[in-house]
Formats: sequence, C-alpha cells, structure tokens
Amino acid sequence: MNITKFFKMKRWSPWTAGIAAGVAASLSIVLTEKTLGVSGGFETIASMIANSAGFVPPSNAFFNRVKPPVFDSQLILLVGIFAGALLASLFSGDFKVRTLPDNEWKKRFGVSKFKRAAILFTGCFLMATGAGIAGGCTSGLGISATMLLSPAGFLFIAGVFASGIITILLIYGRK
Amino acid sequence: MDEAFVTAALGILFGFALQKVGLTNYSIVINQFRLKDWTMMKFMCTAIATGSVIYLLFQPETVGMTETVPPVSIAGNLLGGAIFGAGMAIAGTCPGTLIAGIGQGNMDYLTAGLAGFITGGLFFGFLFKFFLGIIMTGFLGEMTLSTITGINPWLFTDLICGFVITFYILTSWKTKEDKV
Repeated sequence: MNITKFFKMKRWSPWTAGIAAGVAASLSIVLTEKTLGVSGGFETIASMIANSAGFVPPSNAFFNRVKPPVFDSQLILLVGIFAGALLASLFSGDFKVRTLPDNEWKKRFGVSKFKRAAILFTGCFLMATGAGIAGGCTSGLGISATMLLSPAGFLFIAGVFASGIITILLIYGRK
Repeated sequence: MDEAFVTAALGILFGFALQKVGLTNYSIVINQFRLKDWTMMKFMCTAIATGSVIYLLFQPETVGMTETVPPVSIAGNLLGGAIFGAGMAIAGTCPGTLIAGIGQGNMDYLTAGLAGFITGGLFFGFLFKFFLGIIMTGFLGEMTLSTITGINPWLFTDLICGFVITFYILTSWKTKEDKV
C-alpha cells in the first residue's frame, strides 16, 4: 500500500495501531528511562494550580515532593499526544469540532450538553483518583508496566476491566 | 538526544495511533466494556507484546529490573484500577485518549474532561496521606514476573506474543466466517 494512502486512512486496524503504540511505549523506556504515562501530567498541572494558589501546606508530601510544580517531560508528552491526534485526524479528514459523543451516547443519554459535561467530569474525577492510588493509568500501567512484566500492570488491567464491565452493566443493562 | 524532543516525538506517535484506532470516540471505549467491540483489547495487547519485545531487545543488561518499573501495590493497583475502570466506563475515555480526543476536536474533553482530571488530581493530592494508607497495603515495590520467578523474561514475552497471535488468528477467522 502506498504510504500517503496509509496516513490518510480514517482507521487503522487495532493490530497496526497497537504496534505503533508499543513502539512508542518501549522507546520511551529505552531512550528516556521513563514510562509513557499520561495521568502524571494532570497531577503536575494540579500541583501547579495548588501551589500557585498558595494552598499547599508544607506537610503535604504529594504536592511538595511526589509531584512538585515543575514543568517536566510528562507535560511535553501531553502536547505531543495532542499534536499527533490532531495530525492524524487532519490527514484523514476525521477532524471535526464535536460537542457531544457519537450515537451510542445520544441513544442512552440524549443531547443535553450539561448532562454530558456532568457525567464526563465525574468519570474523569474518578479516573484521576484511581490513577493516583494505582500509580498510573491505561498508558503508564496498563501498557507500559505490563510490557515491562510488572505485576502492577496485570493487577491494574484486572481491576479496570472487572469494574468497567460491572459499571457499564449498571448503565446500559444487559442489552 | 534531547529528552524533550524524544518525548514529544513519541507523544506524537502515540497520539497518532490512538486517533487512528478510534479510541478517541466514546462508543469504541464503552463497547469494549459491553464486550461488543474488541478494538481496545486488541490494541492494548498488541502494544504490550510489541513493546515487550522491543524493550528486551534493547535493554538486555537491565532485564528484570530498572528504576522505571512501576512499583507493585496489590491493594493500590487493584483498587485504584477498579476506581479508574468505573470512571472510564462512565466517561468513555481515559487520560491518553482524552488528550488525543481533544486533538480530533472533542470539545467536551477539553472542558469538562480536563476539569475533571485536574480536580481529581487536586482531590488526590490534598488527601494523599489518606490514600497512602491504601497504597502501602500490600506494597511490594519494584518487581517483574521474571525477578519473582527467576525465569528468563523472554518466556513471558513469548507467551504474550503467542497469546496476541492466537487472538489475531481467531478473530480474523471469525470475521471471515461472519461474512460468509
């Protein structure tokens, strides 16, 4: 297949895209000795906000030592992921300003933007808390730790899938 | 090579892959949990297998342990994963796909999604002392299947690759059957 056509495809198979993600995750360890973790970047942003507002007591180990408010490579990673997805969607023409998710969402929850915002906020709040407790998210633990054969990754995936399946059953029922 | 440059390049590759596979869309994420669409599982398993091979090829001397191996906390990884999974099923995204989704123009991700992650980060950070209790329950530190068992890591990597190849063959075969 010609290469231009490949980059312009709207969808890659999960096998092809998975190889690309695996290359990114492993080269991150090989070249920078860091896991390709996304959730850490959000924690750094939270730390910057908390510290600049002057809300952090000296006794708070997290915002002072674990995640000090310093610009680090995890923030660069966020910018990179954004740019990569922007490029991918521009090449394929899939870029579009979307205010609500696709049909599956509308069928279940309707077209209220407020409802979407409230539910998305709640989900992301839970993910930030869960990632903090687990020590990473889908990329840093699910892919990277598992790839390094750390039990942390396998345990995390088990927790995510067990709970995700139960949660979605509660939302959508058995259909 | 400059670390910032490498990180940016790898981020672009990762974001590109996440958008191309469609995990930047609500339906594809939640339909994995509904067991109706296996894109996410296929994507993750292939990434793990590929990454595992490349890592072992490049860093044979540090096989088994590097400082970059995320530490094991049985309660932390499992319970944190469970809270994370509930959030992921509710939101239909995760941290990486949220950022990638913003790249493809998802405005809800940029506003409510980012706000949720930052607020959650503040919540976790201010209550860190409390959560540390959970993290330290069953905290075992840095280890890998290879250091626990003393078995060559290639065995585990081969098993993972074998699993992914079988997964690929079985699902391709099933798709063909469906078409007939």
